[in-house]
Order: sequence, then structure tokens, then C-alpha cells
Amino acid sequence: MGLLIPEVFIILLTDLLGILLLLYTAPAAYKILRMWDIDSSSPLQYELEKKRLLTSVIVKFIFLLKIPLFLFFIYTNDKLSNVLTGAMCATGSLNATPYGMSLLLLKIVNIFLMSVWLTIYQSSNTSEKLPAAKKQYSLLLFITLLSIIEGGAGLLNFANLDPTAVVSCCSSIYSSTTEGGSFLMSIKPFTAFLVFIMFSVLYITSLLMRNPKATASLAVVFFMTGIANLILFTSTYIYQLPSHKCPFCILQKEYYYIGYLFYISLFLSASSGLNLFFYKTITGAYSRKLHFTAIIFGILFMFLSVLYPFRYFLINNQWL
Amino acid sequence: MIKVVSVTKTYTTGTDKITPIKNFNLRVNEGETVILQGSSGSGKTTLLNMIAGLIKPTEGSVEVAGRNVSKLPEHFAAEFRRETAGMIFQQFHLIEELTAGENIALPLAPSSLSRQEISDRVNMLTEKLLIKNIIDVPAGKLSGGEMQRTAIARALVNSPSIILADEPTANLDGTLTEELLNIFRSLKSEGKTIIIATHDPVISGSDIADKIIHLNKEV
Ligand SMILES: Nc1ncnc2c1ncn2[C@@H]1O[C@H](COP(=O)(O)OP(=O)(O)OP(=O)(O)O)[C@@H](O)[C@H]1O
Ligand SMILES: [Mg+2]
Repeated sequence: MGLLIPEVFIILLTDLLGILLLLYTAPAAYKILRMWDIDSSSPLQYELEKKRLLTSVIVKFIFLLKIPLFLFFIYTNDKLSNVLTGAMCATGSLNATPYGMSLLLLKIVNIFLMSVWLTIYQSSNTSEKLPAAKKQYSLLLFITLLSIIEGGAGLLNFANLDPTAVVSCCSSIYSSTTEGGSFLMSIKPFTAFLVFIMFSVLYITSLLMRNPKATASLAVVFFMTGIANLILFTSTYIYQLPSHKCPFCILQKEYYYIGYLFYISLFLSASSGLNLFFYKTITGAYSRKLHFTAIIFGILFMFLSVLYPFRYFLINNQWL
Repeated sequence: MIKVVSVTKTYTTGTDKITPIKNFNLRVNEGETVILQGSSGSGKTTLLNMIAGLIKPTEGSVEVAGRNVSKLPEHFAAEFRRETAGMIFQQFHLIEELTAGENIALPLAPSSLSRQEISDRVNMLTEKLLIKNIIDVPAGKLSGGEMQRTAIARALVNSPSIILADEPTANLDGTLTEELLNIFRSLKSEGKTIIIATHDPVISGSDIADKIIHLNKEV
């Protein structure tokens, strides 16, 4: 039923378009994977080199479009909460069907993979031997597969939206008292905060020490603990309510859309940190651009995560 | 050294296929001057373009100075042309809105040379080619012979070790052709590798050719 809502329609349409373009590149990707041999001067190899150029340009274009579209997906879910009974924010919309949360996770994994693909493509181009062509295309096929699943999940999700049903929202889902309270909700907020700070410091240290291997794994942990801290600890200070834990309400006007700044800086930092490793592996060089993006946005995210609790403390002279 | 190994080039336009170069081999040693001859459509320009890394063969490989030019991704091919090869195009390919002097200086734009050094080089070449007077004239307004010499100056401005010239005398009269021959002689004495595609008997009959290659038109 949700399929006809304009924003949903746009999401599904762009997803479909992306899938079709990716499918168009799939035969070339498969051929490159099977038969690429940069040292060969056969007509087939020249053909594949041309195909690589063409498909890479197409895919780069799709990915550069799809990564920001993720924000639109979140925005749409937030907006949908207006028409769903019981929903106050995107949490409600995403939990209105059994597919919503998986769809969200799938999208997150996919945009990280797309950022990795863009890095592999970029770094492969820095050498005339195109060393990562095969890696680039095996990842592309995997992303194509994920995108198809993602498209299907999106269709299922939005088709199953029922505006008459009452959905539960952040107040019940992100509370430790509901039955089936997840593992996340069993963590003490302050513990989450300490763990997050600890890993942030480790993450930034690994960046300062220019150790891409450590940075890549810590980037993933930084991302996860960052989100966990945001839900359990920092968001309560943004809402100034100890019981209000939610990663999505912060995207709303009441909170000056601050959530977007949180998520954009977290994604930019974590994906840059992750990609430093791939760049280094392929080119042997350390990317200054990724290095500084990871540090600056990582510190910005940390700063925001700490700012709200401290501001609350300074004003009220007590913690929540 | 330039090594063209088993190169075939097929152009496909719609359903038509033309193969001007078929299983072609050529070896040009450093410092050698080679003349390419052959009727119109025999593939002279095609071959020069492949050596310059402007187009890729359909099959086979082109190696220049140890680099497999036919495999270079566009970004590297451009860098190779800028640093190693000077190409004098049959159709000149000048930018009409820029002056002759600006056209000549174009290959130096990405280099770290100062303005003074750049203008010194441009002056030196235009003097040699007798076009110093047209430095500030927009390229679109030049005569055929002036365009040709501007294109020649542009190909030489970054002192490439390989010079590829496509019909460089097509628009030059007898005196200017002699002048150009002198330029080729002095380039040759500097140890440059030169490949010239030409119909001009003055060039092919001159003393500069170490080798003359005939391209046959495939039917
Ligand atoms: N881009 C292209 N697409 C299709 N056909 C092409 C292309 N470039 C060249 N050809 C064809 O390939 C053949 C060889 O062309 P090329 O320009 O190499 O010949 P040439 O020896 O330089 O001739 P000329 O002496 O007239 O300059 C010609 O039949 C031409 O029509
Ligand atoms: Mg020609």
C-alpha cells in the first residue's frame, strides 16, 4: 500500500534503476573476472579493457548517487511516521513491517561496500597495470547481488506498510523493559559511552600512527559503538529525557536535524578509515585525503557525542 | 626503442569493418628516422596514433621506451604523450581561439617551468620555424603553412625523445620544406627517434631516412 507514496516511489524507482544498470554491467563483470589478463594483447583483453572503462564510469555514477540516497531513505521513513498510527519517528516506520530493520542494515552494509568499491576503482587507476581489476569486479558482482536483495526487501517493506495497524515506536523498542529487550538494550548507557570513548581514542590513535590495518578494523568498531552510544547515551541528552532513547528522533526539526550531522560525520569517518586499508593494500601508498577525512569527521562525531551530555551537565549541574 | 608487435587495428562503424593495419610488425631503434609511405587509407595515421597511445590496437602490442603504450589507461597515455612523444597531426588540431604562441606552450602547462622559461622556449622554436611574427595571432586566423609550423612547434616544445609527424609538409612550399628538413636533421643529430608519414618525395628522398616502410592498403 505504501508503494504509491511519492517518496517511496522515488526510492523504489531509483533502486530499480540502479539494479538495472548494475545488471547491465554484470556480463562484463563476469567476463573480466574470468578472463582478465593485463599482459595479454588479444582482442578479448582489449575488449575487456574498454568494457572496464565503460562499466566503471556507469557504476561510479550509480554509487555516487546511491550513497546520499541513503539519507533520503531515512528521511522518508521519518516522514512516513506521520501517517502510521503510533509512529513518532523512523523507528516506528522501520518496525512497521518485519522487513524494515533488515532493509536498513542491508542498506548500511551496501553503502559501505560501495565506498570500498569506489576506493578500489580509484586506487586501481593509480597504476597503469590496473592491479585490482578482478577484485573490483568480484566486489561489484557481490554488490549487485546485495542490491537486488535490497530492492526486493524494499519492495516487500513498503508494500506491507499498513496505515491502519498500530505500530510500536522508539519508546517501546529502545527500552530495556519490553519483553525480548535486545542485547543492545541490556547494556548500561554509561558503559556504552565509556566503551565508545575508548574505541574512539584507539581509532584516532591508529590513524595518527598511520596503521591502516588497525584503522580499518577499528573503523568498523567505531561505527558500531558510535551508534550504540548514540542510541543509549548521547541521544538521551539531546532529548533531555533519560527514558527517551532513539537514533531517529534526532533527525527531526525539534532537534535541528542534528542527527544528519551525526550520521554523515560518522559515515564519512568510518568509511574513510576502512578505505585507507584498501587504498594502501592496492597502491602501497597512504592516502592523505582519506586520512584527514577520517580524522576530522571522526573527531567531529566524538565531539558531538560528548558535547550534548556535557552541555546538559554544565547547565543542570547533574547527569541524567 | 619502438616495438610494434603483431598489431592489427580494426575500425568498426555500424556493421562495416575496416582493417587498415593487419598483423603488422615494426622496430625502430633509438635515434633512428623512419619514413612511412603508402597510399591514402593505408593506415599511416592509424599507426602513428597507436604509437602515440591515442588509439589502442585491436590486437597486438605497441611498446615505446619499455612501456606498453597500447595498455596504458587514458590518464597514463596522456602523461606518456606529454613527456615522451611529440605528435604533429595531419589536421593540426590547434585550438583556434588561442594564439599561436599559446597553442605552442600548451604541452608545458602541467610542467613546473616558469613563465619566462616557457616563453623562451616558444621564442626559440618560432624563430627556428620562421613564425615569430604570428605568436599573438589566433590560430584560427593562420594560413595553412603557418598552422602546420605552429603544430610542429607545439610537438617539439617539450623536447620529446620521440617525434611522430603526420604529413608535416603537406602545406609547406619548397623553401619551408627544406627548412623543416633542416629541423629534422638537427633533431636527428640530437639523437631523437623520428617517424614521419609522408607522400612528399622531398622528404622520403632526403638523407634523413634510415628506413622507409611501405604500408599496403588491405582490400
Ligand atoms: N576512427 C575511424 N573510424 C573508422 N574508420 C577509420 C577511422 N580512422 C581511420 N579509418 C579508416 O581507416 C583507414 C586508414 O586510415 P588512415 O587515416 O590511417 O590512413 P592514412 O594512411 O593516414 O591515409 P592518408 O594518407 O589519407 O592520411 C581509412 O580507410 C579510414 O577511412
Ligand atoms: Mg593520414
